This record gives sequence, C-alpha cells and structure tokens, in this order.
Amino acid sequence: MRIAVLQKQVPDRESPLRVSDDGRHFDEQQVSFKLNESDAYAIEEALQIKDRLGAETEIIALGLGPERIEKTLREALARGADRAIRVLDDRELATDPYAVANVFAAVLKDQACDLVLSGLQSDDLGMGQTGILLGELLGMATASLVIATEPGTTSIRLKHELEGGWYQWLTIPLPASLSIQTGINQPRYPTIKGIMGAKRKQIEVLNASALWSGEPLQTCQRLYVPQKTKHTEMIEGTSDQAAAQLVEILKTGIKVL
Amino acid sequence: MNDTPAQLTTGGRFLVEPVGCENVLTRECFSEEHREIEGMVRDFASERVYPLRDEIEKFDKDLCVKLLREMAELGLLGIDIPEAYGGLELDKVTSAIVVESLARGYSASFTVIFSVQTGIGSLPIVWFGTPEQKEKYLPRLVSAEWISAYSLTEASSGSDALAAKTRADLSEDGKSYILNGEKMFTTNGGWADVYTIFAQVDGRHFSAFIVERDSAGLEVGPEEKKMGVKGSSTTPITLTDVRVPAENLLYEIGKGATIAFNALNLGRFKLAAADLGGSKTVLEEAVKYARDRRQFGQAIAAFDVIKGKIADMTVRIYTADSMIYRTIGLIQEATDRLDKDDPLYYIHMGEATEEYAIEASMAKVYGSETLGMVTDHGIQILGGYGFIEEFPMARPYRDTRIDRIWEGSNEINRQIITGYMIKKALLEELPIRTAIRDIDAFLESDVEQAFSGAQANEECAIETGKRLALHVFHAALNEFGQDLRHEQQLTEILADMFTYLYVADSTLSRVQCLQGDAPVDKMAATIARIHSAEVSIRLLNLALTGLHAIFHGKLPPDTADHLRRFQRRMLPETDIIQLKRALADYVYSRNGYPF
Repeated sequence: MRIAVLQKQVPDRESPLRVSDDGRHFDEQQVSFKLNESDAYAIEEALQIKDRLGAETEIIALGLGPERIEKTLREALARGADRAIRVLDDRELATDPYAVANVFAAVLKDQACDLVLSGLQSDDLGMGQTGILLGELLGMATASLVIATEPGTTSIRLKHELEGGWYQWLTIPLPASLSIQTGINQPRYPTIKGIMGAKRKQIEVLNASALWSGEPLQTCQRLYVPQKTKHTEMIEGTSDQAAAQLVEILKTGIKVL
Repeated sequence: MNDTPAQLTTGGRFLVEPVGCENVLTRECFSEEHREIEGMVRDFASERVYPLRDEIEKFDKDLCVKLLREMAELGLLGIDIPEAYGGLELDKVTSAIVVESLARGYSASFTVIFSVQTGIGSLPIVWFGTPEQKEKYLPRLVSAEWISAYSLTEASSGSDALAAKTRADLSEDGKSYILNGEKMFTTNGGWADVYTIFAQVDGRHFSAFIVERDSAGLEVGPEEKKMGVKGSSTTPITLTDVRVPAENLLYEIGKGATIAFNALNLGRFKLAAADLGGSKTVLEEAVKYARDRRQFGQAIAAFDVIKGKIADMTVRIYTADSMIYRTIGLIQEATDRLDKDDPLYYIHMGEATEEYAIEASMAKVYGSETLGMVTDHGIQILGGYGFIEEFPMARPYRDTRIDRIWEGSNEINRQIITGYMIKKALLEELPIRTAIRDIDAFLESDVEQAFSGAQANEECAIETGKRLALHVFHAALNEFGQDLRHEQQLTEILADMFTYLYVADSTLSRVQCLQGDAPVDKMAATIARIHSAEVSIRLLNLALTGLHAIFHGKLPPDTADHLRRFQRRMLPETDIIQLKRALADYVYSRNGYPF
C-alpha cells in the first residue's frame, strides 16, 4: 500500500501575529512554525496503518510552502515516513484550497497512491477543503471527519462523525482520500534514532508553478486584526419615553431581553 | 569572528586570549538534528510532564518510572551510553539540550530523577565498568527497567567526600567485599534497583562498588522531608555486612576519587543546562503574569521597575546560555580528539573533561545562581501571588535552592576555579607570567587602534577587565604564594572575577558570530552592551575589595594609580537603563525568552 500524507506548517498558536506592512501577510520574523495539529493525527494514522500492514507500505509526506517547511517534512521522516516531496509555493497559492489541491493532484497523479490522508482543517485558515478537493481531482472516493480506519485490499472501512454527536461506519473503495479528525489516535514523538535516520531519507523538491498553471479561485486581499469600535447613543426625551426606548433597544437592538 | 587557530588547548585560556580568537559553540550553531531533538523533548516535556507536574510532586514512583520508560522508548536515556549496550552515544551537546529542554515540564523533581538515572547513576559504569558489568547493568538502565542511584555523601562527609567512613573489607575467601556504613541524601535512593556506593577498602582506599538493591543487609532509610524537589526520592542507605561480589568493584581499588570527581565534573555542566532551561520557563511565566496583571490602570509589564527586572533576567539567561554551551563545546571538542577504540577512551574522556574543570565549575556556579536570581525576581514580579503555591513561582523557588549546594557546593566550586588557576599559573600551563608582564604596554596602547568594530567598547572593557583580574591575581600570588588557597574570601573574589570575564567573553564571542540584521540579533548586541557595562562595574568593585585585602587596607601608590588606569578603559559611556527598557519591550513582544 502507498499512502500520501499532507503535512502543513502553520504558525504556533503562542507566537505573536503582527500584520506586515504590505497588509497581506503577517510578520514571519516574530513567528515560530509547527505542524498543523490535525495533520499530526493524519501522519500518525498512516504510521499505524504501516505498523499493521508491514514494511511494504510506503508513506510519502507531502507539503506546499516556502523553504522553511523542509523542517516539517523532516519531522514526518523522523516519525517514520519513507520519503517526502516538498513543493515550493512560488506562486503564493497557499490561501486557496482549490489551487493547493490542484498542485497536489499534479504531484500525486503518477504516484499510484492507495490512500491520501490529510488533516481535517488547518489551524491558520481552517477551510477544511483540500483533502476532499484533492480526492475529487484524482478520481478517488473521499470521506471527511474520519475517526477510525480499517484498510482492506480493495476498500477501506472507516468511522466518521455526523452531525449531532452521531457516528457512521462505512466502507468506501480504494483509492480514497480521507480527512482525519483530531483525537483519532495518539500521535507519537519522533525517536532520536528516527531523527538521526531522517538525514538519509530523500526529500524531492518541485515548484508549484511547474505543476499547475491554472488560476486560483480565491486570493487574500487584506489581512487585518478585527477592529473594535465604541459607539455611544444618547437617549433623549422624558424619563418615561427614554425608558420605553431603552427597553425597545434591549429587545430588538441588542436582543438581551 | 576571525579564524586564526587557537594557540592554546588548555582550560582557563579565555583569561589570556582575546575575545573571538577561536570558534565558540553557541546555540545558533546547533545542527539540524540538535534542533529536532530539542523540539521533540520540548514537546514531550510540555505534553507529557507538564500536565502531570502536580501528581509528580505528590511523590509517585510508578508515575515517574512510567515517564522515564516513555523517554527510554524515544532513546532519551541512552545519549551517553554506547550502542552495544542499547544506547546511542551521541555528543554532549545533545545530552545538554535534552536536559535543558526537559525543563519545559516545569517539574524539577522529574528532571532530578532523570538526571541521576542518565548521569551519576549510570555514567560511572559506562566509564569505568568492565565489559561484564556494562553488559549486566547498562541495558537495564537505558530502558529504565532498573532505576539507578549514586551514594557518596555521609552524615559527616559532604563536601569532604573522601573522608567517608563506610568500609569495604575483602571476605576471607576473597570472593566478596563486605560493606558497612551509612550513606546520606541518596537521590533516587528509595526507588533504585542498583547503586554506585563509595567505601574505603580496608578503611583507607577510597573505592566504588556496584551494589544491587536486594543485597542482604542493604536497608533503605525513610524519605527525607525536603524543602524542594519533593517528588523525588532522597534517603539514607544503611549497609550492614552487605556482601558485594568482588567482581562488582568498579574500576580499581583506591580509584574512587577519580570516579566520583569525573561524575561530578560532567554533572556540573548538565546541571547548568537544566538550570538554564528552568530559567527560561520561569521568565516566560513572569512575562505572562506581568502582561496580564493590571495595577494603577495598566499592565504591570509597562512599569519601569518591572521592565528592569525582566531585562535583568533576560541578560542573565542569555549570558548563561552563551557560557554554558561554550563550555560544553570545549569539552566536546577535546573528546572528539580522542580515539574511540582506545580501551582507555573513557579514562581519557575524564581527563579531557578535567582539562575544562574551571569552565565546568563556572557553568555550575553561574547556571545555578542564574536560576536562583531568576526565580527570586519571578516571585517579586508576581508579588503576593508569588508566595502562593497555586501560582507558578513558589515551587521553582524552593526547588532551585538545592542547585547551589549539590554537585559540589558553589563555595567548593569557587575554590576549584581559583585552585586550578593557581595550579595552571604555577605550572605555566597558561602563560600568566607573560600576560602580566604585558599589562603596562596594554594600558599605554591606543584604544582606538586596538579595538574596532561594532563592539569595540565592550571588547575594550572586557580585555581591560582580564588584565585587571590578572593584576589582582598576581598581587595575591606575590603576597600569599601557594597559601593563597587558604585565603578563601579572596579566592572567591578571584573566582567571581574569572567567572564574570568568562561569561562576558563568551557572550561577546557569541554576539560577534551573529551577522544578521534581524531584531533578535540587534537585541543580542544590546545584551552584550548592558552586560559588559555592568560586569565592568562589578569587576572594579571586586578588584578594589581584593586589593585592599592583599595590601591589608592600604593600597600602595602605584597600585592605586594602576586602578585608575584600568577604570578609565572599563567604564563605557552606556545608558544601561534605556537599553534595558528596549530589551524588556522586545521580550514582551515575543511573549518570553526570544533567543
């Protein structure tokens, strides 16, 4: 079995985010980056499948971004992925899931993967679309909010979340693209041996512009901190009129009564 | 930094060599693997240890052993252990990074348990054990199947460890040693399966033995009720006619001191690294609190006195970081020169470590006093809440107090620093005599010609400071000769002068390596400016006190004149307070220690 796992690097929650002067990015100098949380569960799920199925299973870690994402892919190799493909985002496509999925589809179309695993959504943009779009583009069956997997030879049985606290078991054919929910497993730490061994594993580097020339459907126009404003309204009239108007505002305006 | 090869390879050479004349190891030159291991241990500590820190503190052996075994699975217990026995035998930098990063768990108790298991509890066997001893014990220790301890101290012999009274006598059949005596303050004592115990063979040859827990006659005493690190086990060990197989003698009869001091030498820089990690987490907690807590209508972080404290903590941590990793780099470099296949490899490693005994002792003193100072400031920033157990300062404040006492008290370590300097001066391992002869020429030289570049002022202050220390050292040796070692207050002054200079030299060397123009690099340069200015003032004060002691309260006119000439070059025109404000603001903007 061959499994591709999408690994996205996102800003650490505790890093201070400051919008940069161009108003479209944040100041990266102040920020430390880490692996997206649900992607950690995705790589762990792939590793557990490999643990069950044996050494013939190959895991490819795949990421899109600037050069700094090499670190995140190296971590995946240290955890036990067999090889990695790093796509340099030379067209600033990262904010559009459709574009990202197209780039990954171009990478994976010749890789004959049986499974594509991705985190449910990213901690920075939270779109939650890439895994499903990628599955569609590659003609795979797709499932989201996955909380358990039981891969077979031609199909995979999986459990996923429905609305209102309900779950569902279903079986879908392979190849398939699954978006993994957090909490599905207990992600492992890379071992020191894994870290030292990752040095010898291969990271292939590709350029996004060479993989996909389409136009993104979404672009980031402006990045800003939500603005707080204060507005004071004076209520005029006699006390009875003012009281009636105040009750009206509380009822229909700010809806607290 | 210039690449001129260093002339000297002996410890203490920073005192006679100019700043930046050799490559120093700094955090910025960690390899990719070092950084990944650091990240992994930080994650482990904050996700596995931190949430359990209160449970650990309630004294829970099973929990601590479980965590140790989890660390063993990750390979973290085998960093100093050869591959043949289940370890990974990586460099000392890695071993320091691991213990530093473990501080993220905010549990000094657990760090102590880990440090004994991987340090004094197992290294004597790695270094001095026979192949059979290694085969038997190391795989069990590296997997944490067994817990280890190290038993040196006795009721009447602490710092004076070699005066131990515990005896070991060969049995009549010559097959075993019979141990009798009582050990005190054994860390991991109540939990250990195997101990390295020191005893006098025939009452006079100080030696070490590997003793298993279930040996008849070995009794573990009650747990000590301690001021801090309450989650760790500390007990007396009573030995009553304990029969230890003769093959469990470690190394040779009479070589106990070599074993004990080697373990301590290496333990010193690791303790320093643990304190460094602790200091960074405490600073982060203090910054968090200062930014949240509001008084007089603003966050207390905005008050100038709080900025001063945050800046002082940051300077202290940055300078400690610079000197600790430099020291580890020196020891690693000396170890790298050895032949690993030499049967005496570990003996030579001990010698290489001892070569930098001065620097290792400095790291221990400066590292432990850094955490002491940082937790003290932390309490003060938290105010009344700092005194309350639920808040994150009281425990580290208590926990760190022991660090100035164990692994050789800081008083003993200061004696070691000056003691080795005296030895190196008298044996001419360091060209101290030449350096002293050149002081006058240095003081007469043109400052602007001698120092250039962005840190010219700091360099001039530190280089002058070195001459000042040499001047006091020379005067002290002239007055007291070999007896200088008995003038302990004076030797402490000298030790502090040497340490401040080593720290300043290391900090400046590190800053000179930073080529970038990023805010973080500029702030590092700011730290070097603050530190060299403050250190200069402290050095002048120490020199004045020291010289008055040497000249019995009355400075000869030429000495007074000398002092004025030193002073002229050591007081850079620096607005320290303004620099500290800028540094604190930067630390706030990064939510904690940013380097």
